[in-house]
Amino acid sequence: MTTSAFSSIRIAMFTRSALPAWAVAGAVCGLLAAIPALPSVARGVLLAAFVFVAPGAAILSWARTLPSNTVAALVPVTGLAVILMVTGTASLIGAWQPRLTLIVLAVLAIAIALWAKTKQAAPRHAGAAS
Amino acid sequence: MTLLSTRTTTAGAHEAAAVSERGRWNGLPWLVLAVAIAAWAIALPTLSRAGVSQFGLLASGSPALIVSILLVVLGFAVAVRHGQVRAATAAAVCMVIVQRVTVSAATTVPLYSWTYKHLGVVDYIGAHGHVANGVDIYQGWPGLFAATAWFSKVSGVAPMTIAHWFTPAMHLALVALVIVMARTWGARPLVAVTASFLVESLNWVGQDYYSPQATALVLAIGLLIVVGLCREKPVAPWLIVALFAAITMTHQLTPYWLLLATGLLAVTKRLKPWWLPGILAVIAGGYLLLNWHVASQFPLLSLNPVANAQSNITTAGSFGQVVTSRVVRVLSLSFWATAAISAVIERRNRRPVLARVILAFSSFILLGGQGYGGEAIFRVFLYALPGCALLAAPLAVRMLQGRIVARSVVTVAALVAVAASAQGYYGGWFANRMTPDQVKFSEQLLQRATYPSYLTVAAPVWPERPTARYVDFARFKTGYDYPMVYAAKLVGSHFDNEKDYDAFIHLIADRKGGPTYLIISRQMEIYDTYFGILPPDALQNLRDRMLKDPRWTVVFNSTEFIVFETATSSTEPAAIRPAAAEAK
Repeated sequence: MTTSAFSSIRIAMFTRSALPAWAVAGAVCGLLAAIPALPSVARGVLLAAFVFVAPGAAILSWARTLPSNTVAALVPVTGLAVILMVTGTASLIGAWQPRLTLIVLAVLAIAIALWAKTKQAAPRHAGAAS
Repeated sequence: MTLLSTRTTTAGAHEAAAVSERGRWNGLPWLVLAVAIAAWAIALPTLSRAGVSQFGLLASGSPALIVSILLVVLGFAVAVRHGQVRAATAAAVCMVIVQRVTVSAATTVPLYSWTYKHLGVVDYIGAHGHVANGVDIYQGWPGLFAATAWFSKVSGVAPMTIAHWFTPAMHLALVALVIVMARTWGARPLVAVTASFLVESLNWVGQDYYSPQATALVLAIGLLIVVGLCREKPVAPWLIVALFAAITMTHQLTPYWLLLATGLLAVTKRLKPWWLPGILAVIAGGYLLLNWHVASQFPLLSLNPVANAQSNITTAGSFGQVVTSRVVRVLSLSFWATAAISAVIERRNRRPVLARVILAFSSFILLGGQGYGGEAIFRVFLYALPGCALLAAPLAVRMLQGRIVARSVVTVAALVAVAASAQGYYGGWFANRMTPDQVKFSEQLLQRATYPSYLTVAAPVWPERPTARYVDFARFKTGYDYPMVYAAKLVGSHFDNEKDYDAFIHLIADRKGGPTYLIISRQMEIYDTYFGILPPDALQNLRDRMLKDPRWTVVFNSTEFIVFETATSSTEPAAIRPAAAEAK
């Protein structure tokens, strides 16, 4: 494969339009991390992938004005911020259900990402119709 | 994108000359970095066995450690000289490896006794599913602790492991985020990487252990990425609000620095929308009100900048500590001065600097209102670092790509500055190093000690409050583990006379509600001698006196530490534990 083909793949991977796919992949990692039968190391890696990919990618799917070259940095930061706020609030109000929280967040990430994907596709259809 | 990326003809010519050399020297920075990593790999296995030195790990560890750090600086300088952005980025990553991975790889448990206080909060949230509201200030700002408890509960990874490897992970994140931040603030790629390298290699302040402030700094740089985008028009300002809310829930001080910085940017029309800091102020103020019952116990406003700038180490330390302290003071002042000079040069070259000046120096305003328990000055340096790096990086790149005199001067200055920073970072290594035996025993003591009781250290330092049970003891007495030398005002005592010892015993005799466990460790001797809290013979003298005193029973004794308990026999003098009987 040529250098330019590699570059195209790399650019495509980190554009905003790829974010819903990243969010779904991260959320799947999160759902797998919720399986207690998996070894601790595997759950740790999967959960880290979830934290630093899924919530941030899902939310930033909606940030249409954000330049693509900042997205790769802001996805993990946003994900970390979401986890800090959700778990922090859970501990403050005593609603502490770690595994359930993970599953709810993963499902939400998938839902938000798919919704954003639908919205991304909508203007193109409109354009094609006109 | 901005005027920052506009080059003068002269700089452009030098850069063109430098780039023309690229073909000939393409592999040189990579070769230097490879040698640096090899030197580090040679040093690493020996570091855990390094003998105690008042000058820290660089003095007593393998010389290959400092060689590896300086080689990374050289590799970076060569990379910038030849305009190689990837090699310069690799140098920044190598700096994380040689300086920060060392902290985790050369130890078996996390550094710093105060890290364990954080793990105690994590353990409490994990065990009880809620915070212990009002017990201490950490419980009111649970962001990092709750996230760690959650992560540990779901994954099964121990919080101690997360804390142990937190430092290199945090620095890797900083390297990446500062590069992106510098780009959104207008720097061209090589300048952005240089800013990141400066932040990474000059961060001597040691605020990178498992802590809310380190986590908040990572989020703050993320927030500043978006602020950089919002300098001309609003770009996802809601993301700034979200990140700020997470920072507010995680750390007490960082939101106020960001509030100052964004407020000044908005006032000077360098942030849009202008009303954004108002929303941030409502979030910070609202959260402070929520925790007012805890926060109001601390001095919230102290309008004495000179006093606020004093460090929390008030004693005259050992010669090594004094040297290290002076080295980092000179380094900090030099870096701030370099940033200021760069700002003047940039301004004279008609490049916009006000926003970067605000970012670099806004944290100094914190000293006008807060001492933060003697830690404010360290936080000021930490918060100033990214902004100062943004100011200094263009000058550094121009000089490295300039004539031989200029690049020699800046390379030597960088080598000296990074060596000084490494000395600041590793100078207190032996004072701050914890051992697995101490940590394990501290956990066991909390679990098994009579409740209620006082679990007191003779002097700093000890892995404090490492498990959830600290909450029970703190509810019994807030200062149940406050160091005796501070409580009895015996800092500097030798304990070689009856007066010192009587003052010590008198305080314990006055305690009510339970027995006292008193810990003296070898680590305390190292720490207290290093910081000048106690003379070198003090703890040995105290230990000898306590061993001869029938009012004390030895409950544990090892080569590392000894634990005494106020005697429980019926013949014990009433003076030492009058309240123990009441408790029964």
